[in-house]
Amino acid sequence: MSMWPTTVMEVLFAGAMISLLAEMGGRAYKPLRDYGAGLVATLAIAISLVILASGWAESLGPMVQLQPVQSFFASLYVADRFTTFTAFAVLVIALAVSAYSMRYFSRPDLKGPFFALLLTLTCSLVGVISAGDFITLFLFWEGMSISGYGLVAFGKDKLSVEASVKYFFMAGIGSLLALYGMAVIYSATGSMQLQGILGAVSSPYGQLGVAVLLVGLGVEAAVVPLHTWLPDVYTGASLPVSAVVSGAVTGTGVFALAKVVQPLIAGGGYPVPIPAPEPVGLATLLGGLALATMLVGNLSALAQSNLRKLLSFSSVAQTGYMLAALSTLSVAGLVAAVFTIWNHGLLKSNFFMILGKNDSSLDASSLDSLRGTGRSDRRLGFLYASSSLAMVGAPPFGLFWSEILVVQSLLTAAGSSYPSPYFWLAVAVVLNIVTSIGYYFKVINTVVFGEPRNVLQRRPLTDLVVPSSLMAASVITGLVPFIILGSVL
Amino acid sequence: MIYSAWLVWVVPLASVPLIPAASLLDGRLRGWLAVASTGASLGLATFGAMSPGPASTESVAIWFPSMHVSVQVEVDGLSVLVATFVAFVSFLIVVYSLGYMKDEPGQTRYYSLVLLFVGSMLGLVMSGNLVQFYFFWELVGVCSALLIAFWTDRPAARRAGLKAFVVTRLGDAALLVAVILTFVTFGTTTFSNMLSPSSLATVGAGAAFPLGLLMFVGAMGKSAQVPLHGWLPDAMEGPTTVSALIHAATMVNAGVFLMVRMYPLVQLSNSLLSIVLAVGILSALVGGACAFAADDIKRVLAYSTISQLGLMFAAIGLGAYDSGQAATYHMVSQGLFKALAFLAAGSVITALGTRDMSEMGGLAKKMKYTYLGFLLAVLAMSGLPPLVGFWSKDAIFSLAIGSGPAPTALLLVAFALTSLYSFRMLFRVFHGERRSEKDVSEPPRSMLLPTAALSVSVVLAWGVLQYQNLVNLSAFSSPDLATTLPSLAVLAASGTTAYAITLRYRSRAVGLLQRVWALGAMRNALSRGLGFDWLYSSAYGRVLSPLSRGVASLQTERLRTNAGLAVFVVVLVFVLYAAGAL
Repeated sequence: MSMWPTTVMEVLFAGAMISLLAEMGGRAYKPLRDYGAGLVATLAIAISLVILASGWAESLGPMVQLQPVQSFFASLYVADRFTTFTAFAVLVIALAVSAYSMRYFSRPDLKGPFFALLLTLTCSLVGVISAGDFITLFLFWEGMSISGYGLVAFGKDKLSVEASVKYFFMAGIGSLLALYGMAVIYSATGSMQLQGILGAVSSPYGQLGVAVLLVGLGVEAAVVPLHTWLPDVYTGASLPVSAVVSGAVTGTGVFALAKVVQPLIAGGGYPVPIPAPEPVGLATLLGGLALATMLVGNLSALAQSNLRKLLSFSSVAQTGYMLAALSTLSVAGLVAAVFTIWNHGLLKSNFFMILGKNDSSLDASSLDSLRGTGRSDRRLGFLYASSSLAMVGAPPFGLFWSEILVVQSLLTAAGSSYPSPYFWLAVAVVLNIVTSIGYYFKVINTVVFGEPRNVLQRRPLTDLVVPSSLMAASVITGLVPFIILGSVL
Repeated sequence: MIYSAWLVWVVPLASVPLIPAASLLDGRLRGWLAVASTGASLGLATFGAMSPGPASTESVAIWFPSMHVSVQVEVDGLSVLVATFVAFVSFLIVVYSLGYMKDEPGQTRYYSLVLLFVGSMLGLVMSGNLVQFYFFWELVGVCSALLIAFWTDRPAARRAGLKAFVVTRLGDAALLVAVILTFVTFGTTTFSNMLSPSSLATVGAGAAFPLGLLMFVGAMGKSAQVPLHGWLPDAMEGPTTVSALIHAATMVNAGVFLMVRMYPLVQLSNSLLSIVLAVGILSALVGGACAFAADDIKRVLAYSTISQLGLMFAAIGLGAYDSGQAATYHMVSQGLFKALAFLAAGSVITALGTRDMSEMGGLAKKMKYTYLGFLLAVLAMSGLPPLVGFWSKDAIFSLAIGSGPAPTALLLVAFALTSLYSFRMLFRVFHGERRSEKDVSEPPRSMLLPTAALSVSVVLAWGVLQYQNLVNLSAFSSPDLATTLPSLAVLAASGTTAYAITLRYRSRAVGLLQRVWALGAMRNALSRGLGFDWLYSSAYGRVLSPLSRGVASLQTERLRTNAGLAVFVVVLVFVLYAAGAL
């Protein structure tokens, strides 16, 4: 039994406390005041990554192991290959955001709370990812949302507060629905463990519980039509917050959905009778939501003239692809979804980081005011162009393989009967990916190649180190996918 | 290990990051590095072509475990021939770039993308399985789009790049589905396994049809076949060297190559073959007719490519034993004379500063060498013996004669159109009276030498190809009088017609166009590309664009709407439950 979830959460939580103290204690000493909180946070996340990596080998077994553990965060946890890899992805993005944010905020008194909230958010994300029962899941789910409200409001202007309130309402609705779903599952099966979902799908009442749970958790993953808060948060929050929400929180939301379907999948790590149950209604619901999500995401993105809004709808579309993979209720679909969480997370946070430091007004991130950025700063242009190409699934970036895996899971589920619903869902996925070229090429054509309107300030090289590293990780995943697929996933 | 086969595509790809590094040392180094890299690739490929061995597939490390894919290199007659040809034409085009792109800004971007383009195409050709093939196929698409948009200060160029990417990607979507369906059907994507007779025997025509059709849609996008051809004429907004690369060496050949590679699978289904034949002949006719009406010299060449590619697909669609060989032969032959035509046209465009043929004319005396090159390209394109175009066209034509009168007649019409537009272009650019005041002269040596090399190859290629047994046509060692006579008669007739309407009786022809309404209307329709662009842009403007705006308005600032949407899903779930669907 791997102990990494609790140890990682302890480290992150302690880090949160220390970074608050570092900011308060460091008021007299300038370097500590400026960098103390950030360094503590970055260090805490780095240490968690080391802990996770050292416990990795134990979590690669074929079966999920559940065991209550004695710790500060004593509860029931899961550490299988999917959990471990998703937690790894989330921690990498949190590490990048933390390192990037060290120079981002100019007001030193903001730094302590910001990094403390970032760490409690990361801690909650790890909790959600590795939770083994509904109570644990729900607790960390709320922890994630509460840290999220705080972080989104961090811009301290009207827009970010508005976004935070909207997020609060929508996530609140989601939490209530999830809680209701959990209660229904409990009354149908008498179990609060995720494993109990297997028993629940044998009755329509239990399936209702699972369906409501999926919808409730779907708010955080931006499943259409519960996605409406996402564009506001991506545009209203400060850039590092948008980077962590887009890269880590949305991915965790999708992973929560994956956790719900995982106990139904033979070979997914839980003991499942063979033949596995086929909850057709649930699969149809997931498939239908997937179709709606990718269509609405892509079509809405086509109409955007603001880069941050465009990116948010593109995230919605990506959620759609991941949901489509999950709707196959197969190991291949699970792998595809989790691998996409990693690839999409890397690229999206990278995108927000290269957007760089500007005031968080809507106007500053409109395509028009960014026009020609690539001409005045070649390095930035290169990053914009390669990020956009990567997002439409061009090689040699990781998302290329994600796209293949999603379609593969769907076509495998379709089997040899071509006109099956899964076949058409696969066709919908590839056509949606083509649509996404429409708006990402708009980014290339205006931001990278357009004629500059305003004189744009060249950005110091240090600003680009973190996004370039994320981009490099995406390229490495794309060139040598076997270091992840087939070995740790 | 066959090191030369690996290095053919690894060398250009590995040199891509060296280009930005070289720019730090000396600007001129970039071009020479690209020349050296493509030259090395050409040398390695030629070495492979000259030392034939048994067909083999080599694999190294597992690359994409989810589909049991390794990095592979395929060495057989097809891959070696096409790789050598691609490397040869690319090398000459890169040499030509030294002069053509000399004073252009953005050379780092240009040469890195060109090397990536060429390396990906070579990687595609040498791929041993469909997944690796698709990886390079996508890379080729990305490079072409970025190179078409190379002159980023021209909005038209940026639009053309986007168009190329979207249209080809539409085909790629079909190919992606085909690649994965292949894996689901065969359990492998390695060519040597999936195309083995025993493996093909397990799938009937029923399974081959959807697979092959999806692959063909991919090929149609890449190889610009009607109705996915609109991006190719627009792609002329890029530098002429890029056009030459796209038309002759890389991009468009990928689609034909895919169909030739997959021919054992494709020929299982007769209905699929008829579709390929129909699309091929339609593209040959539409391309030829539009080329005849175009006034921009590069657009003529672009439509001509669509038409020639149509002939290659027609060859495949004829479904004969020699189909694959004939299509490959014409791919090589088209690549050589089209590259030559583009390079010569590039010299003319550089000299005059325009692409409009109505401002050209009478250049034959001023630009002798360029004229000679262009003349050879036109003669090869129209199929004059013994130039390479004659042999490859003859190969396709003899297949058509073997299959029936309808394809034979339609191919003859396509041949007639080919001679018409190519001679019209030749006469309007180089003959008649001069219409430009500009003082023109021959281009520098770095641009003339590649043109000369291609001219020689157009004359000699058939000998090399046939006597080195690089092309093996069973029914084709000596041309048959029954096939050569009709095509030569067509060539003579349409050459004379072109002479009559562009030079001898030009004023009468122009008058006829103005007086006879039907002729004028036809000319207008053809010069607008028969309305395909209008169809697509109105589909976007009238359907997709309003739809996207409508869907985007779902997301509003108002909390009430959002909560309403959430309630809607919950109600939906409960309705599903009540209806017993859960």
